[in-house]
Amino acid sequence: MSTETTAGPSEAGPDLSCSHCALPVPASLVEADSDLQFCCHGCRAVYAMIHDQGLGRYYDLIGEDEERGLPARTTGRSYEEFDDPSFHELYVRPAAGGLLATDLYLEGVHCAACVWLVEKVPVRMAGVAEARLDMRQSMARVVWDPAAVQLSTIARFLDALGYAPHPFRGVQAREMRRREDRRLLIKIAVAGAAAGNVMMLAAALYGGMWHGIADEFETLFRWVSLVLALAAMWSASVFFRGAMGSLRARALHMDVPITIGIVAGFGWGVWATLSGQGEIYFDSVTALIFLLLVGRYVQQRRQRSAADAAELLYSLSPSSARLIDAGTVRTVPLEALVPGMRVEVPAGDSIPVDGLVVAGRSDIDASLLTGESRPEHVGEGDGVHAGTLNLSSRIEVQVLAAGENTRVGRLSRLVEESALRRAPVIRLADRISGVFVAVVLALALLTLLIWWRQGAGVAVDHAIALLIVTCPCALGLATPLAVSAAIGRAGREGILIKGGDALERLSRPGRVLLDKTGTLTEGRMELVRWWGDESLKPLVRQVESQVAHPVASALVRGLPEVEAEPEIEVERSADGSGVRGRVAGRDLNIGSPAHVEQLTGPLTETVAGIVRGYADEGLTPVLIACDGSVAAAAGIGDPLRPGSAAAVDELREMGWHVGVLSGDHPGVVAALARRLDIPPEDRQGGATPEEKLRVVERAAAEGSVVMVGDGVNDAAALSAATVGVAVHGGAEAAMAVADVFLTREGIEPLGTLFLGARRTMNVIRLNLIFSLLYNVIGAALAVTGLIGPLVAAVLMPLSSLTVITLSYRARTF
Amino acid sequence: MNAALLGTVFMASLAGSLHCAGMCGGFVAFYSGSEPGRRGRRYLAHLTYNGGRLTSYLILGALAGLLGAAVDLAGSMAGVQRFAAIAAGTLMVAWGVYALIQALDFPIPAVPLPGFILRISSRVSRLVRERPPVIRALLLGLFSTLLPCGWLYAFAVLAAGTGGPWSGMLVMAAFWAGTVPVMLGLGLSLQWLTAPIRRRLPVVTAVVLIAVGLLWLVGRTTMPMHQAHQHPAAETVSSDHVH
Repeated sequence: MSTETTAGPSEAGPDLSCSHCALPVPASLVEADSDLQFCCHGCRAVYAMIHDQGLGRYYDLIGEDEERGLPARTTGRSYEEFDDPSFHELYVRPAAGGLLATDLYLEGVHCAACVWLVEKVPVRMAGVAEARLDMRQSMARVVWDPAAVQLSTIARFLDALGYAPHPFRGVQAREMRRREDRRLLIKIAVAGAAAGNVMMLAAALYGGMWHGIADEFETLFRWVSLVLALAAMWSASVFFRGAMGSLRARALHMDVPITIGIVAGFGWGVWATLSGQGEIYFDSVTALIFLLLVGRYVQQRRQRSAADAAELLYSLSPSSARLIDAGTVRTVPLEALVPGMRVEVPAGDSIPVDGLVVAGRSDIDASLLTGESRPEHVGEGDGVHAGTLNLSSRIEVQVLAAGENTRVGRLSRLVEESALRRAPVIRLADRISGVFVAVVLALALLTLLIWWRQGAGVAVDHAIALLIVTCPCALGLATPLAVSAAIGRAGREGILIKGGDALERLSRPGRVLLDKTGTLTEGRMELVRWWGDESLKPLVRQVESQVAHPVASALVRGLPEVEAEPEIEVERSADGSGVRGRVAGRDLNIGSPAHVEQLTGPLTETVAGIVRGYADEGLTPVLIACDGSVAAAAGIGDPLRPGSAAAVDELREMGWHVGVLSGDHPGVVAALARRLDIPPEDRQGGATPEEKLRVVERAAAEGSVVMVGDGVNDAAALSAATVGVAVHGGAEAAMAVADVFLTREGIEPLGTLFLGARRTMNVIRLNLIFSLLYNVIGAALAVTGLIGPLVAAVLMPLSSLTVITLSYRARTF
Repeated sequence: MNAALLGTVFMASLAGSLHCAGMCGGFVAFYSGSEPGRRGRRYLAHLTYNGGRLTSYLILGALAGLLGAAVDLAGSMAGVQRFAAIAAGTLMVAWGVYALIQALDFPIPAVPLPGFILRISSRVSRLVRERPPVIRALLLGLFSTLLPCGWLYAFAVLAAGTGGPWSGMLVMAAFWAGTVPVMLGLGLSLQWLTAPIRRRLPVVTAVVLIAVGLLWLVGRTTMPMHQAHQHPAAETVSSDHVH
C-alpha cells in the first residue's frame, strides 16, 4: 500500500492511494493529519476490522523489545507513591494466588484502540497478570505479582503510553448516569414519535371501519403501523429486561404484566397484519409504552438525588492540591496525595487534606465542620481538616489523611450510607404489585380457558382485553403523578422537595429538631447590647473596621459611622483575643473580658455583673477599655429571627414535638430555648456533627423525626433523620443531603410544608382507591367478555387521564 | 422481471467489481487466515463467504423491495404511478453524479461516517476472531451488508425501485453474480492493474452508476408492479414496445 505524494485535483500527478484498497482517494476525503487515507467509508470500516487483528500480530513480530514501540514519556512522574504502603492500604487489594489488584483511573482514554492497547501491552510486561479497561469509566483493573514487578513501573508504563494513571474514585459515576438518562430520553422520544404516528394511522383505519377503506390503503397503513410499533418495542426493551430480571429473581414485578400485555398486543397485531384479518392494537400498545416510559423516567430522576449527596460533599474539598516536591511546587490531583507528602495552601484556598501545619501561621474558617464562623488560629504543630478555608496567610501542611479518609470524607460516607438505608421506601403500589400481577396473570389464563370453547380467536381477544384494561399503569402512575404535582406546587411556594417518600413521612406529626445557627437565628453576629460610654462607639467602630474578624464585622455593622480620623493605629494582640488602637488621641483596648482584665486589672463588680448578664443571655461579651480602664461593654450575639417564635408555636399546634439541636455553646442554646418555650429535655447545645447524628439516630429509632438545619455539620444528621430539611442560606452539602430545601428564610415555611404533605397523601390515597376500583371493574368486564380489546384500549387511557387530572388539580400546596 | 434489466445489473456489477475486489478482497485474506489450510478447506471458506454474502444480499433485496412497494402505494395515492422506480432511478443518477464529482477530485463535502458503523465493525471482528476459518467466512459474508458500501446500497435502491420483494431479490442476486468472479479467482490485490487504470476506477464506477440510473428511468414503464412470479420473456418483450 503506497502513499505517494499528493498533487491536488489534477489527473497529471500521482494521487494518494487508499491504505486499504490502493484506489485513489478523492480530494474531499483526504485527511491532512492522518497516516491512513481511505477512498471510501467502506474501506475504512474493513481496515478497522481487519487490522484490529493485524496489529496484534505486528507486535508479536517486533518481538520482546519493549523500548522500540514506546513514545516519549508524558508526565514524567515517577509514581513512587504507588509503592508506598499507605497507598497500598488505601487502593490495593489482594487477589487470588498471592497477586495484588488495583483500580486505576486513566487519563486520555477515548477510543477502542486505547482499550486494546491497555489490555494487550502490559500483559506483555513480565509480572502483570491482567489489565482490563472499562472505557466508559476510564477505569483499568490491574492484577500483578508484587514479587515480579512494582506498581510504579506499571504506572510509568501506562503514563508513557499516554494514559496517566490515578487511583480510581467514583468520579465518573455522574457521567455514566447522565448517559443512562440520555439513553432513556431517546427511547421516550422514539416511543412518542411512534405512538403519535400510529395514532394518526389508527384514526384513518377507524374511519375506514365505519365508512369503508380501499384494501391496499388498509394494508399499507397496517404495515406502516407495524414498523412504527416495532420501533416502540425497541424503546420498551427497558420493561422486557426488567421482566426478565424479575423472573430470574422469582419476584413478580410490575414489569411482568406490562411486558406480557405489550408483547401480546404487539404479537396479535403482527399476526393480524400478516394474515390480513382481525384487529390491530398498535395504537394502544405504543401509547402505553410511551406513557410508561415517561413515568419511569420521572421515577429514576427522583431516586438519583440521594446518590449525588456523596459527590457533592467530595466537591467541598478541592479536587487538586499544590504539592511541594523537592523544592518545587506543582499542582496534582487530590487522588495523588498520600500521607507524608507536603502541600502548600495559599491564603484564600480551601485546605485539601487532613494534616499538621509544618510551616506558617494563619486563621482557619472551620465553619464547614463545626458550624462556627469564628476563625481558629493555627500555627506549627496544629492540626487542620480538609474542606476548611485558610483565611489569612500561606501555610504548609503535612498530609495525615487525604480523600475518603479525611473527616469530610468520612462524613460523606456516613451520609451516603444513611441515604442508601432510607432509599427503598416501598410504596403501596409496589407492595401490591406482586400480588396484583399474579392475580392478573391467573385471571388472563382463566379467561382463556373459559372462552376457549367459543373459539381460540375469541378467547385470545378477551384475554388481551383483560391484560390491556388491567394494566397497572393507573396504579403505577397514581403516586408519582400526585407527588410530582405536589412537588411542583410546593416549588412555586419556595419549598423544594426531593421525593414522594419525604411527603409521605411529613404527613404525620412526629418530632422536629431545629438547628440554631442560621435556622432559628439570623446566623450572623450582631451587636445586641451596649453598656457604657456612648461617645466611644464611633471610635470603636473605626478601630474594628481595620480588623478581619466576625466580631469586628458585627461591631462595624452595629455602631454609627462618622468621618474617619486620619490618625489611627491598630494592632492586634498576639493570640487574637483583642486589639489595641489609638485614635483621636485616645488609647483603646478592645477584647474578651479575659484579655482586657490582663491590661486593666481585675474587673469591677459592675462590669463583672454586665459580663455575667451577657453570658446568661447567650451573648459574647466584649469589653472596651479606654486609657487604662473599662469604659464600655458590648454584647455580640446571633439574634433570633423575627418569625421563629410564631412558627414554633404553629408547629406545636399541628401536633409536632419541637426541639433544638445545635453545635453552639450550651448556654447560648439554653437562652434561646427559653425564649421559644422549649423545655430543657428537648434542647441540646455544644453538639459535634457526630453527636448530632447520634441524637437523631436515637430519635429516629423511637419514631419519625424531622431534622432542620443548614450547615455541613448537620449533613449526617439530616441524612439520618426520617426527613431532613435544609434551610435557605445553608451549605451546599446540607442542600444535597436534605430531602426538602426551603428557599425562603426562616422556619415559617415548615407549617406550609407539613400541611401540604398531609393533603398530598390524601390525594395519593384517593388515586390509589380509584385505580384499584377501576381495575376491578375493568377486569370483571373483560373476563365476562362484555368488552373487547378495542374498548379496553379506550378505557385504559381514560383511566390514566382521570388519575392525571385528579393529581394535577388537587390543591395540595 | 425484465431480463434485459437483470442483464444490465449483472454487467454493471461486473464492471464495478474490480473496486469490490479492492475493498472486500482483504476479507478473503482475513477469513482464509494465515493458516496454510488444505485446498479443500480454502474452497469451502470461499463458498461459505459468497454464500453468506448472497443470503444477506437477498434479504436486503427483499426488504428494499418491500420498502419500494410501500413507496409505490403511497405514490399511487398521490396519483403518481410506479413512484418507487422513478425515485430509485433519480436517486441513482444523483448518487452517480456525486460520486463522479468526488472521483474527479473536486472539493465537494463528504458524507461523514456515523460512529456506530465502526462500533459494529469492531464487535463483528471480535465475534469472528476465534472461530475456524469456514465459520469466519460465513459470518463475514453475512455481515457484509452492514459495511458502508455505497456501491452495494445503490443497487439496493434499485431493488427498492422494482417495487416488490421478489423482484428486489432478483436484482440483488444479479448483483451478486457480477461480483463472484472477482471474489473467487482473480486475485486479492489490484497490483496487477497498471496505475492509470487503477486511477480511473472510481470514475468508471461513478459513470456506471449514472448510466444504470438513466437506463432504469427510461425503461421504467415496462416494469410491472409487485408481482410474485416472473413473466415469460416473450410477454415482457412484447410489452417493451408498448409505451
